[in-house]
Amino acid sequence: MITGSEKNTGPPTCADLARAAGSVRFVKNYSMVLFFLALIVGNAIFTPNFISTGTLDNTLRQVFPIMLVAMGMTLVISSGGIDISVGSIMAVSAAVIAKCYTGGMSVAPAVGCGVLVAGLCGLLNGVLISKFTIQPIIVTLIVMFAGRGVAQMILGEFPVSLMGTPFETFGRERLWSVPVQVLLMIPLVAIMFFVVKKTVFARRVEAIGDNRRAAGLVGINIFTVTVGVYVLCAVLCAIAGAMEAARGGRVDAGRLGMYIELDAIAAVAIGGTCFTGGRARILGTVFGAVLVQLVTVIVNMNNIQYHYSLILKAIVLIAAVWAQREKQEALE
Amino acid sequence: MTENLLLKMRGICKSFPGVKALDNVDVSVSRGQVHALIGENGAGKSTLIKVLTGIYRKDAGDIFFDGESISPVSATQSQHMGISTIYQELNLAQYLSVAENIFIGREPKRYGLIDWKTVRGRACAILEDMGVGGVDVTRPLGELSVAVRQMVAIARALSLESKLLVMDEPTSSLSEGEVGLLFDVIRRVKARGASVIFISHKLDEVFAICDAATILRDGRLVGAYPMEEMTKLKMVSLMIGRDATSVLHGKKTAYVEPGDRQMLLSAHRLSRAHKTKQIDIDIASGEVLGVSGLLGSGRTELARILFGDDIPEQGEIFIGGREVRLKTPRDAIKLGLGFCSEDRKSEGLFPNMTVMENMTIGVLDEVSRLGVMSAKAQWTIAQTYIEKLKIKASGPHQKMKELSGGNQQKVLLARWLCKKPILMILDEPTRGIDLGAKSEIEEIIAELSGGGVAVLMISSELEELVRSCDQIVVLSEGEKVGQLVGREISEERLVDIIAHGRAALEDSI
Repeated sequence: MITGSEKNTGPPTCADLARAAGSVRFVKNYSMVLFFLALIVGNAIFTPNFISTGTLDNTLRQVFPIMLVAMGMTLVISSGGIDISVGSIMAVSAAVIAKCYTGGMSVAPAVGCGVLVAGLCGLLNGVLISKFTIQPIIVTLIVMFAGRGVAQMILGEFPVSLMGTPFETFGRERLWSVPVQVLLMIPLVAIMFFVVKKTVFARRVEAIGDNRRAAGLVGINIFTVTVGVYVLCAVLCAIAGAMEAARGGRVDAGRLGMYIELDAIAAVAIGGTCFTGGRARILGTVFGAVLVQLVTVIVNMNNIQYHYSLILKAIVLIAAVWAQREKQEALE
Repeated sequence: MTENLLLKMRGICKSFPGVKALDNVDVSVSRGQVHALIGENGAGKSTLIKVLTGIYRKDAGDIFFDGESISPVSATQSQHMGISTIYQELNLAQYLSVAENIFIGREPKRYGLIDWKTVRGRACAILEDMGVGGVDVTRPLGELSVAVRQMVAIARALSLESKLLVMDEPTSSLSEGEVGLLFDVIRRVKARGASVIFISHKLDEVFAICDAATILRDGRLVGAYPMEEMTKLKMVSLMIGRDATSVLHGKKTAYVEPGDRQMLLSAHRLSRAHKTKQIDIDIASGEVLGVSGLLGSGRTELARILFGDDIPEQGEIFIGGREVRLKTPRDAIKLGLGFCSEDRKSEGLFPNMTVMENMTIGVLDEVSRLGVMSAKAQWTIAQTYIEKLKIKASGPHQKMKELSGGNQQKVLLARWLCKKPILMILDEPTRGIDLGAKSEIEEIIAELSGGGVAVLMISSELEELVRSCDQIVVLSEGEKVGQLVGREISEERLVDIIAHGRAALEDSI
């Protein structure tokens, strides 16, 4: 902070003005947190049953896939790319898992197959993007179409039930009355946070996102790092897909993970990761994912029609973008 | 306020978090005056211009323009008031034609449609008026040279009836002939009664075209002087705040003797895409090899081939006596090469990352175990080089984009120094850098070569090459046209080779 504490009566000095600008900046910097708190407090007062374990339970269970996918998306976006195939990859891996399991495999190898297939989808994304220099949005659009098609090819038109299987039991499990999704989420967030903050891999991802050409000239292998990013994102999608199948007790290849890319991208935007690449803000994304899910939950609980939740999300996004713009201006 | 004053900025203050970029700065520009704004990088010139053109809001102070108090809040608004900026990186549309660029956003219309005939006619008229007729106004701007593009930017400003043109480093990518052309245009602008604020690091140009100069240092006003009272030496002293004699003069005294050379890299008959033709080059350990030549002579292309960024169509490269094939920069880096590009911004910096992250990006494998980085090891490296290279930064965690050009360049040098290279390729290492930092970078180069590192240094500044190099190779149109060794190096001879080199080469064949 700039010094100059004596009360002055004259015209405002540089320091005074800088201080005033500083407090405005504070509000802008934390506008999303303030908005979040307002949302909680407002609903605690006006929405019946908002403060109840049931609501908390639901929100936390449902935010799990969004959070996982959004964390993968954060790294992809920080590398300067984007992945809109995440929902389809979730569906493919869930479809593979269901098919393998109903075909007689036990749980672990079935999940392994799902993760493997998702990893291959990520590999395809990464290779097409960095070897053949096709725009990420085009490549992942292709995989989004193809993936959804393949998922439905594997499972057929109708949802496959996993009721009564270990999946379903696991998906509704709780330990010390905490939902299993939360128990998984905490270490996964911790791991991703560690990866982003501490690993050479993430530093290189951010460098590529910040200045791709310079990254090549300091000897970073852009190909392997890019492939790594998309594979990591796909693997997180696979876990999300498996957990969604478990939570619902069924896999609907046509609907599982549908539109999740939009919520994930929104979460990343709210979290403050720059869309032209650069610093990956994992905790921001985690917060963004909770906020996005909270909007959905609140709308559902108040029996407001679905389309209003979309409009509300749009408003949240506008606010997020506004807050970031101001932040950037302050920096430059 | 006198009648003749067009612009008066008074008591301008502007702070950024942690930095006071402008502290009580005054500038006055008369009508029809070409006014130089001078200072080292980080002195506050760009900030002042951004305050004037509404890109930044001032914290305090007044701006009077054309007799009125103004406080512009956007570039568009200041443009409407009559202030136009011509930036280093021109903000014009590459794919639109010259005429379209001049009238973009306010095309003359007829029956609601754009009246192309009038657009072209008026564009031609404006350009002719500037003395640069003969430009095909229907051609896309991207196909024309930088100089012509700049003329178009000026034409656009004039057609907006601007009273004040701000030119930020307008000559940085122009050839000498083109600079002359630009100066002619500036004189015409002046004759029409408009004023120009001219920002340049090249003092010769300032003396050639400007009527007065305002000098800034560390965000403060040093003073405003008419050009008649100025000498180059005095100006430099005022800019850097100390005696400049030692900075501007001097020549390298000790050279690596040709007999003592231990060849590190030899390249034979390197050719690629008509940009480099059959170039032979030898660099010895502990030697600074200069590469001189005009823009487009193939200097940068040569550097890129040696660093594995471009693959030669012909020729071979030997390092330490062994033939090597460099397919990517990674191959070159593994062999101990380092490279600083002439284009810091697009090929060097990670602007949003910290100083520390920028420095250690190349040695991550050495500061990590099993892919996990050690914060302490990185911090130590950053701290060491910040001190060693006297980098002005608040600390290892300052963002790279907040540093001045000279300090950014030092960080980029540190990035390679901490890798302990055996050969450093430096393309224009002091471009756009103020004099103080410039001499410090020259010292770093001398220290490197003293420690046995070979340095290949490309520069447009002859004085700098003469000060630093053991040998100088001169390129012209992709060919090697001459070489100066040790004591035969002098500016006159270099100029001579650059000017006549090609002819001499042809004579000798």
